This record gives sequence, C-alpha cells and structure tokens, in this order.
Amino acid sequence: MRRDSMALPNYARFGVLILTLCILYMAKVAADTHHPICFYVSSNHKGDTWSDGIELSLRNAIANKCTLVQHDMDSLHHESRQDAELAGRAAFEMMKTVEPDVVITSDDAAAKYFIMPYVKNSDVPVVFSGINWSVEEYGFPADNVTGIIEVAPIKPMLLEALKLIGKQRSAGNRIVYLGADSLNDIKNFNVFQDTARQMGLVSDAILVSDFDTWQYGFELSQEYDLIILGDNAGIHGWNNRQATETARRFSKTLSLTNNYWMMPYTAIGYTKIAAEQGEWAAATAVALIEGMRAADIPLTTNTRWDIWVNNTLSAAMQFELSQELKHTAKMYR
Amino acid sequence: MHDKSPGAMNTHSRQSKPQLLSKLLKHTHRSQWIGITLFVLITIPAIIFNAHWINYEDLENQAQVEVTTIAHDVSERIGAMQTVLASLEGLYYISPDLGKGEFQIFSKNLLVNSPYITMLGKYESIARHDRQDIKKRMSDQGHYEFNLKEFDSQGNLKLRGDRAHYYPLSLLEPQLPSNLALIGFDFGSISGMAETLESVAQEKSMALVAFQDHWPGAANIVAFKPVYRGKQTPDSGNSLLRQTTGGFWVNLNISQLLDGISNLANNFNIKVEINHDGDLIPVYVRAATNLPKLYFSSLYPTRVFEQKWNSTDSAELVIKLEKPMGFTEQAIALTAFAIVTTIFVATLFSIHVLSQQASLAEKIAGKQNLIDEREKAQTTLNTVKDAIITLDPALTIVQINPAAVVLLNTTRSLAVGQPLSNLVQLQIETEKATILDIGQVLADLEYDGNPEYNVVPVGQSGDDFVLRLSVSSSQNQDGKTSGYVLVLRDISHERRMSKKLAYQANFDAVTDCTNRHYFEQKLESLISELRVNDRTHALCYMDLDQFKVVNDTCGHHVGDELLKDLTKKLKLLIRDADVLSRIGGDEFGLILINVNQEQALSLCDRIYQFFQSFVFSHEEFAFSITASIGVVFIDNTCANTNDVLAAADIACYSAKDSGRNCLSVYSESDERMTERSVDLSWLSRLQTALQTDQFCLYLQPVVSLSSGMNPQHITHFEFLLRLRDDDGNEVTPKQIIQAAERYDLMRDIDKWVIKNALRTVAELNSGPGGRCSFSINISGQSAADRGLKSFIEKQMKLNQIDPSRIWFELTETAAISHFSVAVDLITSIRSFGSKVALDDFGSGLSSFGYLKNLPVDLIKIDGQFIKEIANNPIDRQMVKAIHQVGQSMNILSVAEFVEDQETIDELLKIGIDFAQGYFIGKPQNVRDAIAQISKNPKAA
Repeated sequence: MRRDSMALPNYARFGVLILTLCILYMAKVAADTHHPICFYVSSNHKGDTWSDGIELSLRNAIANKCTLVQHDMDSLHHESRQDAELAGRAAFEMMKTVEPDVVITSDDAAAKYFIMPYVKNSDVPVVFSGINWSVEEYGFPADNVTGIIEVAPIKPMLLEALKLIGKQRSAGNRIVYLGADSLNDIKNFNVFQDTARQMGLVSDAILVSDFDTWQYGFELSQEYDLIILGDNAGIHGWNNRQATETARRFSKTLSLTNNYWMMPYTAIGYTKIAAEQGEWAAATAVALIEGMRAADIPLTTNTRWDIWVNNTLSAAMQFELSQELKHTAKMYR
Repeated sequence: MHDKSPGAMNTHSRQSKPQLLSKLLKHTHRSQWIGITLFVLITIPAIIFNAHWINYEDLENQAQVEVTTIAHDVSERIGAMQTVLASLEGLYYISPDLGKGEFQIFSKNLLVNSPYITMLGKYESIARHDRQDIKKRMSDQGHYEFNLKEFDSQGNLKLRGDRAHYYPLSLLEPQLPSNLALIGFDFGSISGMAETLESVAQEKSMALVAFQDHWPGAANIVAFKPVYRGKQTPDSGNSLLRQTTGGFWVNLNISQLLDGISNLANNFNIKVEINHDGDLIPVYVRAATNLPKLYFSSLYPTRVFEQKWNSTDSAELVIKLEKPMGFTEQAIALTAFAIVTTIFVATLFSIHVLSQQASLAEKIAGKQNLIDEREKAQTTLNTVKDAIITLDPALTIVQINPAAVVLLNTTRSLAVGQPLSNLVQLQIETEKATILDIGQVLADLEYDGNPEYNVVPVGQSGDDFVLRLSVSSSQNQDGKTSGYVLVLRDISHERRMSKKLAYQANFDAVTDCTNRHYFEQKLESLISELRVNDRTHALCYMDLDQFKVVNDTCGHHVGDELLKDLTKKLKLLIRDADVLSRIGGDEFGLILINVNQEQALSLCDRIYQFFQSFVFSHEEFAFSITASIGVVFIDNTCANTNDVLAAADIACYSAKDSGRNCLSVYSESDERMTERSVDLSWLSRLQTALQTDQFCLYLQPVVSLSSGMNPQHITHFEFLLRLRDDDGNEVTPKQIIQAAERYDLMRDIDKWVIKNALRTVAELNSGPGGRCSFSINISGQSAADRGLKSFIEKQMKLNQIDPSRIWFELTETAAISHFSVAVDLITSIRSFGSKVALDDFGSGLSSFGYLKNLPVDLIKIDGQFIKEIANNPIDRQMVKAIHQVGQSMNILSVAEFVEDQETIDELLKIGIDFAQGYFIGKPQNVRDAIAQISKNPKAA
C-alpha cells in the first residue's frame, strides 16, 4: 500500500483529536465523580453479636464517606483450616472485583486468612479491627496496614474479682477459662493466662466446640475459685435458654466475662465495646481515603469498657458486692 | 411692587409660590443675605465638628464596651483552660496511674464544653535511662509501637535521638487517626521547650507556648502545667524539678477561641501574640469581618486595644484589638440630616422674617399705590377727551372733568354740587323734540346694561354736532348704587368721516360721478326689482376711443381734466334719475331708468351725437374724443347683472369692431354679437379646462432624414395640445390659441403643457419612449414671460428629465414680436442643455435677418413650403435656401407637413435633417404613439 494512502485525511485527524479530547474529558469527569469504595471483610457471620456491633458502628461512622461493600467470611462455621483459607481466597477474589480504595476487616480470621496472604504490603490500604490482643503473628503493622487491636480489661477485672472472693474464701486462687475452641478465644486465654500468672494465679482452660461440653465444663468449673467465661462464638448447638438454666442451676463460683453477650450466664462483666472498634476503623478508613498513609497511623487499642453485675446470679452465689461495684456497675436485668 | 394695581394687593393669597418667593427675594436686602449666609457658614461647620466628636466618642465608647465584652469572654476561656489544667492536675493526684481509658472518659466532657481546646493530654518528664520503662508502660496501654519522636524538617515524625532528658507526650485526647502518631512526641525537641518545661516544673507555674511549625492545626497556643510525685507538692525549686513526672498540656486553638466568643470580635482586626520575656511571638492575625462601612477613616487614627493574660511563668498572652475609626453611614446620614434640617429651618426662618418685611413693605406700597392711582385717575380724567360727569345717587354732580366743563360751557365750581338737569339737558339725536330723561335712563341701568345714546345738548347749534352718551353705575360694598358715571363723547367728527367714506365708496374721486361699485349695486337693485314691477331700463356702455392718446400726450392730469369735463357735459344730457358712473379708466356706464327702447335709443343717440362734436382742448392741443357705445335693453327677461354687463360689453366690443365711434345695440340674433359671445364663452371653457385638466397631450412623430438614416426611424415626438368639448369632439388648436391669446391665457396654457409634457416624458422613461426626445411649443405670450425659464428648470428637476432630450419650439412670429426677451429665453433654455427650434420658419418675411441673431438649434420650415415641394420649384428653392442658411449656421432643419413619399425624396435631395407630417405619423395620444414605436421593428 502506498504511503500516502495510509495517511489519514485531515478531517479524520480532526475527528480523532476531538474523540481523544472527549475521552479525556469523560475520564476526568469520571475521576471527579468517583465515589470511594470501602471493602469490609467480616470474619464472622451476620448474627454474631460482636461482629454485628462492629458492623453497625462502622456503617454509622463511615456514613456516606465511601460505599461500603461487605463480605462475611463466616469463619465460626468453618470445619477446617482449608475452609478458612478458601474463605480468605474468596474475599480476595471479591476485592479484585470491587477494586476498593480501602479494605476494612474485623476480627482475627480476616487478618489471618485474608490480609496476611493477599493484601499485606499491597497498594491497598487496610484497616483492621477486633484483632485480639496482638498482631505480631500476622506481621502487622505493615506499610499498608493499620488498625485497632481489641483488648479486654482483664487485669482490673481480676483485681475486682479477687477483692470479692477474698471476702468469701479464705484460700484458693485457681481460675478456669471456659470458652470456645476458636482462634479468638485461644488468644484470649493466652493473654488471660499471662495476666493471671503475673498476679500469682493459676489458670486452666476449658475450650469446647459444642454446647453439651460447655454445659459440662460449666458444671466442672464450679470447683474453681473464679470462672472466666470466654466467647460462645464457635460453640456448636449453643442454646441460650439452656445455657441460662445451666448457669442458674450450677452457679456457685464467681463468674466473670469480658463479653457482654455472656452476661446472662455470668455474675460480673468487664465488657468490651464493639462500637469502639467500628468507629476507629471508620475514622481510619476516612483518613486513608483523604490521603493519609497507613504507615503514619499507629496501631491502637480500645480504651472503653463497661462493668455489669448480673443480680440474679450474684445473689445466688451469696457473696457481697463491694460498695464501689454497687455504685459503678450496671445492673444486668 | 409700585406698578401693581390696588386691587392686586388684595390678591396676595392667590399669588403663586414662585411669585411670592420672587417678591420676598426682591425685598431681601444684601445685609440680610449676608446674615443668612454667615449663619449657614457657621452652623454647618459646627454641626460637622460636633458630629465628628460625637461620632468619635460614640465609636470609642462602643469599642470600649466591645473590648470589655471580648476581654471578658476571652478571660472566661483562658480561665476555663486553666480550670481544665487544674482538673487534670487534681485527677492526677487522685489517680496517678491514669490510663488512657480513664483519661478519655475524663477529658471527653471537657472537650465537649470547650471546643476551642482542640487537644489535651499528658506529657512525661523522663531521663534517658527511663526510656525503656515508658516504652513498656505505653505498650501495656496498647501503644505497641510507642517510640520517642520529633519532627524532621519536613514535618514528619521521626525517632528522637539520644538526649539526657525527654518530655514525651503520653496521653492525648481526642485520639484520632490523624493525631495518634503524636503519642511519643518529645516536647523537649522544640527549641526552648525543654528549658520552659524545666522552668515551669521548678516554679510550679504554667507555661503558654505558641506552637507554629509542624504541630497539627494552625494558631495554637499550648499551655503546660507540671505535676509531681507524691501527695504533697515540694516547695523548693530543685525538689520540684526532681519530683516532677511531667504534666498536662492543653492545646488552645486561637481561631476557635475567638470564633466562640461574642460576634463583637468580628468588629476588630485581631492580632494574638505571646510575649515571652519581651519577645513578641505572633500567633494569629485576623482581619475584621463585620466592620461597618466607614468614611473619612483617614481623619481618625486606628484605635488599638491591648488585652494581656499572664501565665505564671514569664509568658504573656497578648491580644491586640484594632478598631478602624471613621464616619459611619449612620453618622453621615444624621449629619446630613442635621445640616439639611438646619438649612431648612434657616430657610423657613428667613422666609418668615422676609415675608413679614415683605408684608410691611407691601402695605406701605399699597397706600402709596392708592395715592398714585387716585392721582392717575384724576390725571386721566383731566386728560381724557371725553366729558365725564360723576353723579351721586340723587343725580347731583360730584365730579366733572375739564372736557365736560368745556363741552357744557360751564366751570367746575359751578357744576359740582348742582343737579345734572340744571347743568345740561339732552335730546335724542333722532328725536330732537324729546328731552332725554336721564333719571329714567339711570334707573333702567339694571335692565339695560350699559346703554348708549346719540344725543344733542339742548341749545347746541349745528347739525353735525352729536354726542354719544354712555352711562354706568358704581356699587358700594353692600351692592347698592353709590353713584353714576356719565360719559359724553363728541362723535361729530366720526360722523363726518363716516359720511365721507360712504361717499368715497360710491363716487369717483375724479369725475364726482358714481363709481363702478355704485353702478353695479344700482343695476343689481333695478334688475331684482324687475320681478315685481314691469319697468324697462337700458344700459349704455361707453368706451372712450383714443383716450390713451390724451394721457400719453399731455399726461394723466390732463386726462383727468378731460374726464371731469366730459362727465359734466354728459350729466347735462341725461335725466336726474339716470345713473352715470365711471366704471373704468376710460369707460362710463349709464343706466337709463324706466325708459322703453325708443326713449333709450333716443337718449343714446343724443349722447352719440354729443361725442361727434365733443372736443377737449388743452393748451395748444385739441382732442376730438369719441366713444364706442354699446346699448342693452333691460327688462324682466334679464337674468342677472353679469349677463347684462356681458351683453353691454359685447355690444361695446361690437361697436369697437365696427371701427369705433359707433353705437351698437345688443341683439342676440346679431352674428357679430354671437361671435363675441362665443369668444367670451371660450374664456370660461379654457379656464375650466386648465383647472380641471381637460386638456390632453398628443404626440406626433418626427424622423431623422440626415446621414442617410432610414426615414421610418422615429427618434423624436412633438407634444401637441388637444381639448375635447362636452360632446367629445376635438377642438382645433387654432380655436384654443385664438381664444387664449385674446384673453391672455396662453401663459397658463403653456405652463400646463410644459408641466404635463415633462411629467409624461418622465413616465415614458422606463419604456421605449425613454430613448426618444420631445418637442414642446411655447407661445409668443409665454416668450415674453420672464418667469418661464425658472418654471421650466423647476419642472425639469422635479421630473428628473435630461434637458438635452427636450426641444422647445418658438414660432418665428412670436420670437420676432418679443425679440429681446425671446433671445434671453432661448439663451437660457440652451444654457441648461435643451434645444430650441424656431417654428413655422418662413412664414414671416424678415426671417433670414432675424435668424442671424436668434441662437436656435433647429428651424422648422413652415409647412406651406413643404406641401407642394415636389411640384413647385419655388417652394423647393425656398426650402433649399432655408436649409442652406441653417446649415451655414449649424442649425438643423425640420420639414413639417410631409404628406407623401415624393416630398420625402425631395427633402432627402435637399438634405433636410428631420421630417414631420401625416406621412410620417399623425398625432396620437401618448399611449398609442409610444405603442407604435415599440411595435415598429425598425424603431431605434
């Protein structure tokens, strides 16, 4: 073909120029009107009290700053590690589709099976929340990862408990941790164990996978000086009514918990507040959208908790609440 | 004022405002103007000066109040900040292990209530060897990444290098992702801060520090308050320093602090500084946002208010409030209002004073006017020519003017106080036997208005002496008659003048016999009476023959003498009842009243015979004066005066036609009379035709024969005048011209022709006629009309005609008859580009001689030479001679009356330039003529 026949006529060149300008203009308009997308990966499922609390506060706080696309990994129902890894993979695949501006996660499973293998050190900024006690095992902080670590007021809770049982018992400082055989609760127990050790206390753990075992464990726990009730998330066949009945029938030993939703079965609660996790995650996500680097936002922990007293159970246990507790603790039903 | 009538003084209230003002201004003396001006000149600056001070003091007071309010608000906030620090200090001593959870709960409410405290927290005072301890402590509190930090030059936080002492930030509220990294920031890394914090620790004081560089937010002042170990605070400086664990800090945002206070702060330019040992460190500058619009600000210094708040260390918070001063809009408006009001009041006052003065002056002037007016009235009475007598209601004379004294031949002293009837008695002019009852006349005034009577004083002699009496009454304020005024005017002279004028209207001044006006009035009267009586009369119309000779020979005064003499002698020939009138210069009319034809003819014959012997002598001259006499009998068959006069004119004209000095009696059957009558009818027909455009124009073609051109080519037309009678028959031009020339109507007809011909040429421009030229005839009478040239020019311009397309034809006889004016006219016409043709050339005998002096372009050879040219060698030679003469003078020739081809052939042989005649084309109306050339394929 001749050279001159390949050359575009002038009107065609002009058309190409106009088309290019139009495309550039449309791209600019699209960029100007782009609404950020936040990809929220919850480790658990809808209906999990703690996760629902985080999600609710997250949604309220983030409001219309970004479009929140949620993916639930449902890790508490996983039968195997492979299931958890698949759930992490699925979250990643969805993230690729969503192309988010910021990734937000809650709880440990998301950190372990989603952030760590797929997102850490990528270009996408990540905010985690609800990771219990420590993040070193996940390699956090990273340049693109920041967040809020979930801690429980274990020490003040134990100090208060010791004050109370000191009046009831002349000796004995054995503590049992009754919880779920889950990633979260294992970590909780480990921290609890460290803290107890620092206080000169001896601790055991009963970590169960089903409700019947939990009921049995509860009955056994009455032999200890203090019972710490962990999470029920991950305990198959959990039955609230039955659990309440069990607690009322067998409770003799002072029981404590850091989880508000375990208060029906516990005498005293030093409970964490899920909303604090969601609110911080939302504020951090907004800061990241607005241009802050994740590396410039240090990790933080929750600072707020609440104190509860289950009057029914505490009365059955026949120990006297301190005046301070009477004045400061909230009454659970 | 002095020329006002007394009555005008009472109309003061009805005067318009401009009039009143004008009057006041007139009464205003120069000194008063100066006084008013001085008052205004002094008062207005005083108002402005006063307004200046009031405005300044007002602004000053207002600013003071505002500053006090602002200072109060700021003090409250500074106090609140100090309270916060004191609270935190107290909290610390209650719970030294203050965790971040408790601190968050405690500070939450503080922050909510003090939005200008944007951050607060705790700082630690640690030595180098305590670094690990604090790191662990902070990690236990959840700050797993805790490190000591400082800002690098870019404002990024970096790890703090090794130092002997640190002041790290350990608690922070509110904790946000954006400020969380500040935890661990070493306040001691800021220049001078280590010394400041050490100092406040030693002095147990509070430090105010302006943080500017990389500290979050802008316009911050951070207050530091130290805390110490133990429950009892040490006293000495060294102990304090040794026991301090750090302290609390509060971050004040100055902008928010000021925003939160009264809106009054917006009225000031605000500058916030920290005075640290005399060094002023600027913190915040804000311009006033709510300043009212100020005028003349340059006249006022900016007012600066300075408020200081001391911390317990050497630092001092200084807030400078600058208040620009100037005239506010309100002040300007009030000042302007005051000035306008002052001017208004001054004006009102001035008007009031001036009106008082004017009123006084007016009263004085009014009195003077009364005196003046009375004197004027008296003077008027004295000078007026009418006799004026003033009577009281009892008809006793109150006043009498000099004219009345003279008229009534009395004296003033005798007359005044006398009853009027004692002084004079009056008779009605027309009823001289009756004495006018003045008392009754005055009593009837109410009904008669202002009656007038022509009266004659009883005893006064002379028929012409007549007085016109006018009476009127005067009323007092109650409307009752207060007296009467009698005015007697001597109208004798008016009467005489009136009689004279009446005489002049009906009599000829020269001959003393009645004039034409009287004659026609009398004739009309007699004719109108014929309907009711059966009388017959006769009218004799006499036109003196050769009277002009007498005037020309001896002058007009001799002519007048002749007329007087003739009149006197004619009067001797007629009866007293007959009416002899001079009805023209040398024309007399005689109405023979109540005569039959025989008597009339007898009397007329007597007059005719008189003229046969009448000789008028003057000095050595003797003139035999005869007259052409026309006689008309008047009976009840005569319709009107005009007909009778026309008949008399016809008869007289007939007498003149008969060689003058004849007596001709009008008879309708007389042929001469008929002709004359027809002529007269032409006059009205032509006039009507001119007025109603009954004339019309025909065109006859003229072809060019010269230069071998085809004779059928039509390039020229001659306009010909036509008139149709009521029956539609065409009237011959000869008849029209003959009558028109007789009644001097040719000028009007020529103008009609020129006007309409040129308009027609203009209308033909767009068609084939636009290529042609046209001839227009001018009569001999018009040739003598000096206004014709300008008329032609005006019509040319009006119709936008190219003059070169128009030929004007003047007959040879007309040109010769009015030679000098004709030469002028021809020259003028040629000067604006038209051509002139000499028409009917050859009909006159001296044609060649005149031709030399007439600057014409063409000669139209008289048709009498053309008609027989083919057969008559003399005609041929004549035409040839004319053509040759014209050719030698560059004059083109036109042959008229061309009626056959043989004639054309002869003309071509001779070399004639143009031909015209029935063979070429008959006259046609314009439309047909032009249609002819447009159809003619040969037409050019």
